[in-house]
This record gives sequence, C-alpha cells and structure tokens, in this order.
Amino acid sequence: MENLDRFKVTKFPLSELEWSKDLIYFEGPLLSEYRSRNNTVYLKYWCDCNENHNRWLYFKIQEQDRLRLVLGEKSIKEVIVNQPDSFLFIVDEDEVTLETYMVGNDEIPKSYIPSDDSFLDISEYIGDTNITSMVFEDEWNIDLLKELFKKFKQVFDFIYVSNNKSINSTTLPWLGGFSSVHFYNTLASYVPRDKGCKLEAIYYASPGYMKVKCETANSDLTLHAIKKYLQNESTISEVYSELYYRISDLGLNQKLTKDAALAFYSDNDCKRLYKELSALLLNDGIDWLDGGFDNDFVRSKIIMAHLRRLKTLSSFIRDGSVRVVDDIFFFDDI
Amino acid sequence: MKYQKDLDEIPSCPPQNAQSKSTEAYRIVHDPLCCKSFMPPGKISPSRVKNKNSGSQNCSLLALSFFTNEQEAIRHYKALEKKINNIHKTIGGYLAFGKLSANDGLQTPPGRNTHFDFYESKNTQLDSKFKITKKMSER
Repeated sequence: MENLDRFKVTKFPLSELEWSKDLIYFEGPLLSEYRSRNNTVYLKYWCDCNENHNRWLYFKIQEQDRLRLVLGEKSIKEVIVNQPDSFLFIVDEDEVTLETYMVGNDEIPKSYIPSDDSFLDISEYIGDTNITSMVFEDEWNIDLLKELFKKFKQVFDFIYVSNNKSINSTTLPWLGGFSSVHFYNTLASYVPRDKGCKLEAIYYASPGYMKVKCETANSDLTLHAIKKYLQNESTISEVYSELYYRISDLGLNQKLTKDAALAFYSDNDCKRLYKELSALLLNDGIDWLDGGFDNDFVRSKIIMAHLRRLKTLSSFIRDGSVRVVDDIFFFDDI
Repeated sequence: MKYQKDLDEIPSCPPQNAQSKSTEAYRIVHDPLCCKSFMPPGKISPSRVKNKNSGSQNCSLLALSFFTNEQEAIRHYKALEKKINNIHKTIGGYLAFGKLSANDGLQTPPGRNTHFDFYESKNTQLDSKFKITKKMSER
C-alpha cells in the first residue's frame, strides 16, 4: 500500500455516517453510499489492501453528481477528482483498529484513482424507495419543469385509479368545458396522500435534477406506460390521428354530448379506432374504462387525453433532455 | 456444511433455493491456488466485507462466487477492474476452471451474468479440483 504516514490524523471525523446502499458489490461491498445526520451523502470506495488492512476513500458527493454516477453518465474517477471538498479521508481498517489520513485532492495516490471509463451500470442500481428521480441540463426553465411534474403526476394518477378496482369510474366527471381539467383534478382526489406524487426536490441548475416522491410500484407502472408509448409511438400516433380526424369530420365536438355519443356509436371507424387505441395504451385499465363513463365517445376523449400526456413525457425522454434514474429506458427495445 | 456455526446464526442460510448439483464453473482467484483461494469473503477478509451498518448480505459472505460461463466471468472482472484499479489485490486477477460435484455443496440459481453463490459441504477441498486457466488482470 502507498505510504500515507505524513497525512495521518488522530481522529476519523465521519464515524457517525450511516450506511445507505452498496453501489458496487462483489464478495462484499466495494463502493457504498453513506449518509450523515444532515443527509449529506458520502461514498466509501475500496482502493487497496495488504495482509492486515483494507484501505478506503471517504468523500462527499453532491446529489446532482450521485444521480449521474448511478446513471452511468459520470465516472467514479470524475466524482473522486471533482468532489466538492478540497480534501478527502483515506482510512485503513482491520477488524478492530482504524487509521485515518486526510489527503488533499491533488495528493490522492494515482493508483487509487480509477480509469476514465469507470462507469457504473444503471441496471445494477437499486433506487431510492418511493422516489423517482430525473436529471436534466441546459435550457430548462422553471415553467417547463413544472409542466414535466404536472404531466408525470397526471399519468401517475390515471394509472393508479384505473388499476384500483375499488374506485368506480362512474363517479368521474367528463363535463363540458375544461373537461380534462375536471377529470384530472377528480382523479387526483382519489389517490391517497401517502401514495400520490409530491415534488420532493428540484435542483434548478445545470446539471439539475427533480425528485418526485411517489409510491414505487405505481411509479414503475407509469414509467412502463411511457416506455410502451415510446415502443409503439408510430402506430399510436397513426391511430390517434385517424380517430382525431374522424371525430372532426363527423363534427362530433360541435354536437350535444348525447348526439355525439350516438353518432360515435353508429360509426364503425370511431368504434374500431377507439378499441385499437385503448388496447395500445392500457393493460388492466381497459376494464376500468369500459366499466364506467357514459359512452365510447367520452371514453375516447379520456384515452386521447391520457395519450397526449404520455406523448409530452415521452418527447422529453426520447430526446434525452430528461433522463429518469431507472434502468427501464436503457434497453435496446425502444 | 463448512462454517455451519456461522450459517446457523443467519436465518434461511443457505437460501432455500440453493441446490446440490454437478456444474462446470469458473472462479476469480489469486495465483497460485491454495486453500485461501476458496475461502468465502466473510472469512478471508472480515474487515472488508463487514462495513458498519451494511445490509443483509451476511449469508452470501459465507459463500464462494462462481460463474457458469467463462466469458461472463471475464466480462465481470474487466468491468470491476475499470472501476477499481487494485481489485486484483483483494479478489485476485486469475480465472480458475473446475467441476463442482453434487456432494461439494449447495449452489444458488445463476443470475443474469451466470454468477452463483456456492456453500461448501464440510469436507470439500476445491483447491485440488480447480486449475488456473487465464490471467485476467492487466496489472
């Protein structure tokens, strides 16, 4: 091991850190996340050993860097070299004792700094419970971020309610003007506070991030819905356009709801396209949609509103302007 | 089982899905092979594996890591080496190949990268069953 005696200090000041998760694990942890009482995150990185000791680096990491590290966008080398303090701690541990060294950033032994391509693999990352994180850069303005959160929440609420058999869809309104506003507001009221989406944090900078607190299981379904949209985007857009123009050609939006519903029901194209669209976008939610609401015309309006929200979210993800900290979008099948 | 006393202290260890069967397997080792090449991490270097407050992987720490596929074992090692320069110092930098028989112990089902945990039977001596086939470390 490198001789670090000149950096020795008498006390290890980070002994109160609490283990959070392992980021690299093979026959024991090699890179782990630890948190302080004030929620500052430190990484503990294995770097060397001899017969008696294992040597670890302890260094601070900012959340915007941690998210990019686990996404595989920032290397371990980058987060060590550019860690926010001007020094880090190197600790030699055996089963009983601990030697601590305080080392300036420019004095870290070169052999302890990994290669330029020391990237983690997002598929091996176990995310934070009930937190969905997204990262972004550059041209985002705060209104666009609010819109991103709003659309994510609306899709989340739709999926939560449509998958919850105890919520009767006949109680949901689709009324005259601002129908979708009423509809999504009512949907939100059916999602329990402890399971619904809340904005946990926005770091409005470049690089920035957004953290949404929401139930992991339903968040996963929401991300899968976005992925399904991305996988079938051209077909979905085609069916949507056909249905949209068919409704327009028949002038259904200008008719009284009752008359529009009758005309929709009498038109084979409308019925077929609505069925196609709901099959492309919904899984279990089809029963929920078919089991309530007044008629297929209203149902088609609801599914089209849901689609537009998926489309907005997908457009952010497709062009990479937003990356969700989850391995779901990192497979070749999109 | 080897380390029975330690295994007894951990609930459901070895895991219920571990089976005894015959398998050709690859293991990352130091050169030369010796009895320490087949000691589980919880025994060979307790100070590395027992991080303060770390999770519930104690059972796995009493098992040996193997791969069923040579290329996956090499790929895994190379990926680790990119992330940690001195990885060869703690897990070794060589690949050994051998055959585990049903009497040798219990194997967990292989994961996506063909890695599985192996819990040795009491009298198993794996150092005589395995041979180094490749140097993987660049260092």
